[in-house]
Amino acid sequence: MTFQKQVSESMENMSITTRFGVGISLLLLLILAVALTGYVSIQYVRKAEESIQTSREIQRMVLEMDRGMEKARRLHGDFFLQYPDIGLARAHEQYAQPSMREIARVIAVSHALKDLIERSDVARGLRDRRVDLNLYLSSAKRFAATSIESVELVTELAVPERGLEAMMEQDLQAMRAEIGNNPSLMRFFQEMKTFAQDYRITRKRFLMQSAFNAAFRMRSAVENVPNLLPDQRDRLITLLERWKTVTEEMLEVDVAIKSRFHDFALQGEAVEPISTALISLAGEAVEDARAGIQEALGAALAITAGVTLAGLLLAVLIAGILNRSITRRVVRLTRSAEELRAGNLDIHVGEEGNDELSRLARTFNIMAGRLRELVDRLEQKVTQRTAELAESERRFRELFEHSSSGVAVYEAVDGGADFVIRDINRAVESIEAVTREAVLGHPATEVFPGIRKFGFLTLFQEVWRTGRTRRLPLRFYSDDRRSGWRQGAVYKLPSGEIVAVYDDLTAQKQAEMEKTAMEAKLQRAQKMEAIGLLAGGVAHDLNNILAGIVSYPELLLMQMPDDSPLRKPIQAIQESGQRAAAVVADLLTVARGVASVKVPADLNGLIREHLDSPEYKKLHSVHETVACTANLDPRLPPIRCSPVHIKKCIMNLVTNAMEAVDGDGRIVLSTQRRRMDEQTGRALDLEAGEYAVLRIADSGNGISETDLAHIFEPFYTKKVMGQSGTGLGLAVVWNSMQDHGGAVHVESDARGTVFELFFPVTGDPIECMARPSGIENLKGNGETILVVDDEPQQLDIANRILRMLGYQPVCVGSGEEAVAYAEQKSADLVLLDMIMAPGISGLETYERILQIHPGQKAVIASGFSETEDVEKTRNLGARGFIKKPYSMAQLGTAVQQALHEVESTCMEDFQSARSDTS
Amino acid sequence: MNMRIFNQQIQSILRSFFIIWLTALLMSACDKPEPVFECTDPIGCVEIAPGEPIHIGVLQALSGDVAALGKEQLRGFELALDKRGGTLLGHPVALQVEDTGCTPEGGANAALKIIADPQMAAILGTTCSGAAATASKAMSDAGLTMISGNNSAAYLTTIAGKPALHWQPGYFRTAFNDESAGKAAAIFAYQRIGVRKAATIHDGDIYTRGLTEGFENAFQEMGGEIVLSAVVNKGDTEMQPVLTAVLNAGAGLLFFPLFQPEGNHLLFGARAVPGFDDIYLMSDGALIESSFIESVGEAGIGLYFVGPARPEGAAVDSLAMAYISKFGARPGASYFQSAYDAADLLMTAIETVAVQEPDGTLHIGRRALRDRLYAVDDFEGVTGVLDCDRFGDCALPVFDVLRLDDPSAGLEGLVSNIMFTHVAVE
Repeated sequence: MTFQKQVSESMENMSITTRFGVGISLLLLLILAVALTGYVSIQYVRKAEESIQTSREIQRMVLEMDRGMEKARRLHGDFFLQYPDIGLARAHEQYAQPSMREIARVIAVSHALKDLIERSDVARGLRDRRVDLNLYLSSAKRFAATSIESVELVTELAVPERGLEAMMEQDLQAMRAEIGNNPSLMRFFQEMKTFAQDYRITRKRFLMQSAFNAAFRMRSAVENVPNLLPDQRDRLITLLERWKTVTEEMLEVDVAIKSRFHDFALQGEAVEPISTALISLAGEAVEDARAGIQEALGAALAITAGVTLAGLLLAVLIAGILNRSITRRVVRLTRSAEELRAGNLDIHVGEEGNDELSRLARTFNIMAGRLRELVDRLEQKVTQRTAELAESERRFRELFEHSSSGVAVYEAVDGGADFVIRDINRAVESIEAVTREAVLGHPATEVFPGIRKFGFLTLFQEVWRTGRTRRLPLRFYSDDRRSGWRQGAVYKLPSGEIVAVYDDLTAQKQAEMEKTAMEAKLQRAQKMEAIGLLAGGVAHDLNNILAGIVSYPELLLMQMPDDSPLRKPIQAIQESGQRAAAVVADLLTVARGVASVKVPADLNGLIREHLDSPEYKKLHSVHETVACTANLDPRLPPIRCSPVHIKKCIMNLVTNAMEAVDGDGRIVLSTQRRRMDEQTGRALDLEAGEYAVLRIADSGNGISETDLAHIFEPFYTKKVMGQSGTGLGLAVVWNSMQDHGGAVHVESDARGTVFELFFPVTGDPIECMARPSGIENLKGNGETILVVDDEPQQLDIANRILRMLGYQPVCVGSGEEAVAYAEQKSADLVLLDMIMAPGISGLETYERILQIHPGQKAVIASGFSETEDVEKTRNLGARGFIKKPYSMAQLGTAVQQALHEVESTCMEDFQSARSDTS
Repeated sequence: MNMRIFNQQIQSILRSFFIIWLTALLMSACDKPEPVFECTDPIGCVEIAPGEPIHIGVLQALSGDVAALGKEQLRGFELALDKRGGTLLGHPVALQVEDTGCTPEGGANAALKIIADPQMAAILGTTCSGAAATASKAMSDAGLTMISGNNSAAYLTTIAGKPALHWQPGYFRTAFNDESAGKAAAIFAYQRIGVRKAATIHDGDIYTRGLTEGFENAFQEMGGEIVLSAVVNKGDTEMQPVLTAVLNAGAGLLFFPLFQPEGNHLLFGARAVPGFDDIYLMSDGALIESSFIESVGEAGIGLYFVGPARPEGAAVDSLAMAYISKFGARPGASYFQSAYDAADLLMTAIETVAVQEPDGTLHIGRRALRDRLYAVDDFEGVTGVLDCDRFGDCALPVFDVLRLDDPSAGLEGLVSNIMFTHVAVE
């Protein structure tokens, strides 16, 4: 049985707590071992560091000793060098004493160093050098003693007066005095003195021995020289003996001094290697200590690594045992619990053993059994409830999805700054033209950029913040993708989400608006119809009446001399007739249905024609302080229009603008090409497409809102009726634009008023630019003109004018007569009235004539005529249309053009223009 | 096994471990050896651990012209050590050899080196008495014992039965006290040669000075006259003036107990100075050495020497044989014998006084060693029976006056040519 197996079995018999306790205890023991290793290493390193410090201190002290000793020696040497020059006392003070103090310090340091080495745990090498240190100390002491001795010896030798050298000198001087002039003695004396001096220079003893020998001979001479007195002889002998004694003492002192110097040299030789060795040893000790630190660290590292490895192995072993005895079973339990959680209620866990896990397993199995029972019962209930919930959910989802009202669920984000769409129903998809997938999770402000602008976001925020349900009043919404009228309610769910339930009432609202517009339109139409009926009813008669008033004066004036006093009254009659005809024309225009021919035309040209017209100049002369400028787009496309009516519109608007400007001001006429989309067009009741826009802006005081609503109504005017208008100007404009499929838009404020006229553009080219000719050019060549009119006066006028123009008019009073004439004769041209009563109409007449004379040329002349009849007649081949009452020029032009296959439209325009503005 | 039983087992193991640890601790405490020796010596003991060597200092003149004498001393010590197989009481003997240079200052400084070692048991030395004077002072102050086989200056021990100037406790010698050497020379000069006027020259060293003083005293006591007491310095080479002084003094004999090379220079000078043919020249034992004989050659003929009498006997012969055997040459002087005796006497004394512990640790009482040497009586040395007196003199002085007649016969010829023998009587 392996150890691991034994341990494993033993542990299996333990409780889990005990197993963990044993495992953790073993790990703690390992940690303790690592900590102990670290502690021991630290202690060792600390000890080594102390050793380093001590060794360095030893180095320092040795160096201090060495330097001190060296200094002492140097001072001592200086003493011997300097005392002959500076005197013994001064040399003693300057050199000997400092030397002794230095050596005393060296001795003290030596003692301290010795103590340090003995009491500290320095390296063995240093401890073994105690002997050297003792020697160093002894040598230092000896140096001190020797130094003192040498100084004493020098003192004995050189002290002034009492020193041996001084005494020698004194004796020599005394001898010299005693010898006097004795030549033989003097010779010996000089010899003796010379040798003595030589000795003092060289310190060679044999020289002094020579001096002694000379002294010996001198003494012999003293004893034998006859001329010396006995006393003198005795004194000389005494002096010689004393000199020799003193000199011998000096020689001994010299020897002693020499011995001391030798002593110093030996001391130096003895201590120098010691200091070197001590420094070296201290250095080695430092290095050893450092190496020791490295070794200790290495050892500690190795031990720590070993213990860590052992710990890891042990941890693995413990982990393995714990894994087998605890973790695996816990894992099995956990998996079983997970399976249980996953729904496997039939799970069963093994219950081997009797520890906590076994008890837990038993408990688990019991719990699982009970859960099975509970779940079985629960499942039945859940199935039932789930079915109910599914049905409920399905029902509400159906309600949600099939609700005709849009339902959108939002969740507030960024503290209510925005709302993210969480759900929408199909109605919302339909109303907003979005898909559920595309908008879910997107901010409401992103999907519906206009909700902030139109106040929906504020409403959402209020509901989200207050929790109170708010009604969403009928409100218009629009953005780049959608627009429409919304109405509903917003409320907050318990979950914090808000729900908007609303309906798209756009259709209803549009219908309502259209209904209102239709009603207004109907009302206006009825009004116009009434006026039209009125105008139409009287226009024919009026025009016939006016034909006499307009045409006869012209014929009269042509025949009347220029200086005739009747010319002016007749002209007044003519002008009155013309003005009356213009009023009738406006009435007919307002009444609509008035016959007009639309041809491609250049709007810019019409504007320029107006600005160049005498009427405008006359108007501008009345309003000189008003500047009028035109900014016309040269690329403006042609429009299909009735030029006479458009020019009348321009004239009316310019006239109104001039009158609106009080004093200084300006009027700007501009044209531009504008693309109208459906939305914008809808506001102006226009279809989408390309439009030429005439813009007339003035800097007047503007039109009040009250007036603005009625300005296009007939006879609604703020002017004094009859003074400057008929009350039909803007009604003519509005009706003309309606008649041209265009629109008029007006904006006004205190800074002025802007009228914009929108004309559908056409791709057709402008057909005619012909201009009317003079009367002289309208002369005929006797062509037969069948004039058909039920008004005798009108027949007379036509007859007269045509005759004057050189034609052969044949006048008939009805259509039937005309047909009858045609059946018998032919005519070059038929001048045909459209409305003739009680006979056939002009249209029918022409139809019949054409049956007789296919290709019969005809010109329509009518005071009022249904547009339809005129068009039909034109379609049958009628070449022109002339409105009654007409002038000679108008008639002549129409006839001429018809006869010569010239497009009559231009003539008509010309005639109309002349008629309107003359 | 349930938890309770397991815990009990764990506790039992821990308890057993603690008991074992405690027992080991107590046993290690009890294992400390009881002290078997306590040093009661008033000046201390030297303790030599097992296997450690016994330190013995050697102070000798190992440089200069006197080096031959110093080396002979060293060889004598080595022979004595060889007698004991190189060990002493089972310990090796470590000799710390220091050169004194044969000067007092050299002796002092060399002694300092020796006594710096607290483990130093004793000193063998010195060669020169001058060096011994300073070295013995330091040695004695340090509580050591020093024994010399070559020092002969009376100043080192006793003069006229009284402590001499440089006597120091602990100093011993197996060389003769020179106090009798000077006397022997004076007797020979006055009585055998018959000179009545003598001159002396020393070099200031206590050895040479002691000899000349001993000579002068004895010579004068016998009625002779010392006509010149001159001094030369060590290192002097010019001897003409001092020799002139000798001539001037009218001396019939010149006693100059000098060392080499001063002795050599003086001899050569005397041979060169006219008038010295009739003056006897006598030197000392320091020059009874083969190198001197070889150096002076014919100039040395007729030169007298006063020196210690050469011992004789089987022991001497045996030692000589050992010398030749060990060093491959004949001895340059006979002083290695006294050196041998000095070493033998010292080691015997150590063997006597040393306390040896069972583990081999030795304890040598410093005072005990000294006392033991002072108490030496009838010690059979190679040079004769040794009895140490209270001043440290251990040999009975017997001096011979020799004359060099045949330098070619070398040292043996010289020491065999005995003119006179003087035995000191206590």
